[in-house]
Amino acid sequence: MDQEPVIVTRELRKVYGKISVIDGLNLEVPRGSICGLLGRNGAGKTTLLKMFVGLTRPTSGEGRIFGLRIDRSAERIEIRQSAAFVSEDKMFPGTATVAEIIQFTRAFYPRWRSDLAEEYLRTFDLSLNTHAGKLSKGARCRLALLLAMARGADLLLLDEPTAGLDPAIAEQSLQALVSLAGQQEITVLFASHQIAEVEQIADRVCMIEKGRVVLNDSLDELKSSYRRVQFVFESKPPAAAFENAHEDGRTLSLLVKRNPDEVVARGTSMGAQSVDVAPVTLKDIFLEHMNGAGK
Amino acid sequence: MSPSNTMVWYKAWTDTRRYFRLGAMILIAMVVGMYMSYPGEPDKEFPHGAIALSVEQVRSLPHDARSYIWLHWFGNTLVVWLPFLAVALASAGMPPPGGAAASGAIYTLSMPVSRRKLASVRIVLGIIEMAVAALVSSLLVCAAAPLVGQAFSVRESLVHALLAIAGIVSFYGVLVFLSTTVGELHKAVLGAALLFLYGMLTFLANGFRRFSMLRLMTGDMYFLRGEIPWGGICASVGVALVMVWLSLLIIERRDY
Amino acid sequence: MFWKPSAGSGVPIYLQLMEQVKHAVETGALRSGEQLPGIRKMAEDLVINPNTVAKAYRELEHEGVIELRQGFGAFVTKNGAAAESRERRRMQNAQVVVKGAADHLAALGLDEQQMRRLFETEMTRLRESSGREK
Repeated sequence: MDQEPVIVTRELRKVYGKISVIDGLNLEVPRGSICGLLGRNGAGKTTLLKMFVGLTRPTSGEGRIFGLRIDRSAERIEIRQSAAFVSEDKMFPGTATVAEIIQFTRAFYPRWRSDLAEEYLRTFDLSLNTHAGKLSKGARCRLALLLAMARGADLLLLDEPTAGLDPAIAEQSLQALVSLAGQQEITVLFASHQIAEVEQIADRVCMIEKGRVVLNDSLDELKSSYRRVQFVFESKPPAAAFENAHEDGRTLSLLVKRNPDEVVARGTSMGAQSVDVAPVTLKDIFLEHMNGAGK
Repeated sequence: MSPSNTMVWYKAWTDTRRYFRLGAMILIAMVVGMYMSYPGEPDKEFPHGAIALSVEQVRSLPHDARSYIWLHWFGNTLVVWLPFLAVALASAGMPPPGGAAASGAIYTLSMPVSRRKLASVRIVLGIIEMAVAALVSSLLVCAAAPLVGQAFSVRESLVHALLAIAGIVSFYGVLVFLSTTVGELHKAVLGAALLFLYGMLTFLANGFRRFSMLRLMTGDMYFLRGEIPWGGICASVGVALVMVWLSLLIIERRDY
Repeated sequence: MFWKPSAGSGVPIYLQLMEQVKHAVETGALRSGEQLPGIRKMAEDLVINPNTVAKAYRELEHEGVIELRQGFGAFVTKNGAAAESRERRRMQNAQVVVKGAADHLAALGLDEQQMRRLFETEMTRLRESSGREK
């Protein structure tokens, strides 16, 4: 991975009226990674993805995909030639049938993989003659994924790809995704509220809050470096002993990003009776960042 | 043409073909209807008026087949139905964001094609479809005239059909602009309101008649004096170009 | 032979996978010279990131349990099994120690949570002291 990252942004900004939906966002997504984009509703995930695919134009700042600028109209079209976007609502134009939408899409993508398309039609149980308007939300999700994965793209930008899917179908979709990632070098950036899924298939995690990146790291790194440390004191814990610590009676607990030993030593020196060090889930890390954002 | 270009045109066609077919069929049926109700003695059953023409003008016409057909077809029927076809067809395919229509459009917008191309093709195809419907039905007027023992000049029919098209494009342009800014909802209401507005303009004081789009479409100058209303044509086409240009501008800058 | 790693546990998935492979060698499910599933197949079957599988395989190769043959795939090394049986014996011995301790602590009346906490604390202490020695 000594190549340029597929996505690079520098102080990217998107302002609607008085509101900065994206507010100085700096992000890098390395080639070949599957990166989960986490954030609360309204944090800017969808806007960010739309800026990458050219549906929305940035107000200021720099953004490059495959080295192409997202603020230049001609380059945006070039980006779309190698990228696929799945929107949150997964709607399709008009009264077209599944077959017609596929026919429509493949006309724009010479690298279309009919073998993959056929395989996904089977796995996802989609019938060519169904009208898009008659598909259930789950089926539309699967169709959107099919169209994204069969077009021979180098980058997939997915907005809640498995939202509303039952666990079995969601697993199938994830399976198709990782299978594709195993076959060819493809980069995936997917926004999701399903933290468990992100933990399952992502190798990188990016968290955004209020239009800024608050965390961007490899998932393994996060898992191995974050720890929850809990102290019990004889009486009330010392005031303001640690930043972002939660107090509960005589207990003080906090999430430690690195070197829990230092924290443990400090707590012990402050008179802690007992110390517990435990691993944390991605959800814990996420919630912690959402609460303590603004660093 | 590259596969992607072909597909852009094909998509525009699939989006509009049902309106085109319906419009063309209605116009053809109108031609048939006109001849089926053709009076045995045109002299006695001559129409009393036409849209965009003054009563005096109509009274001054000779009561012959040529006038009858012109009044009936170019003076009334075509001029009433083309605007409806324009309402049905006028769209850049790019509704404003936030509506249900926009959600469907987002997929198309995420294709590696410029918005300008997508919109322009759709707009141009609409005009082509209106033109074909107008031309085919107007030529049918000539072809079917002998069935009632009459004749209507092909050249005249073509010129009138082209004038009708030249006139309708300004209306079409305004509708494209509206569908871009306001959206596709209540197309019919929009169209009817505008039609009414245009219609009203023709019945206002004489001073306004010169600017009536409907009058341009009727082509009375050519019918009565063989004069081509170049001024009117330029004005109408000019309005259409400005409206379309504005629409494209808005479409290109929009955030979805 | 391989089951889906637990995404939500504190242990990174690649480590879990490494453990599974070592366990497979240990139990004889995989023998010396036998081939492991390819990266793509493994990722697809377990529905995990292929990069994660690749990382696990690389680490296993580093530890000498498997070898990656360019163009052919991943194979259990000749002494992988041997290394595993050495490892297995070591683990068996360790298990005896832990079993004894667990029985003892249970006799003292400690429950599972308490035992776990004690262990984590000791882990930290070990880490601290080994850190100071550096």
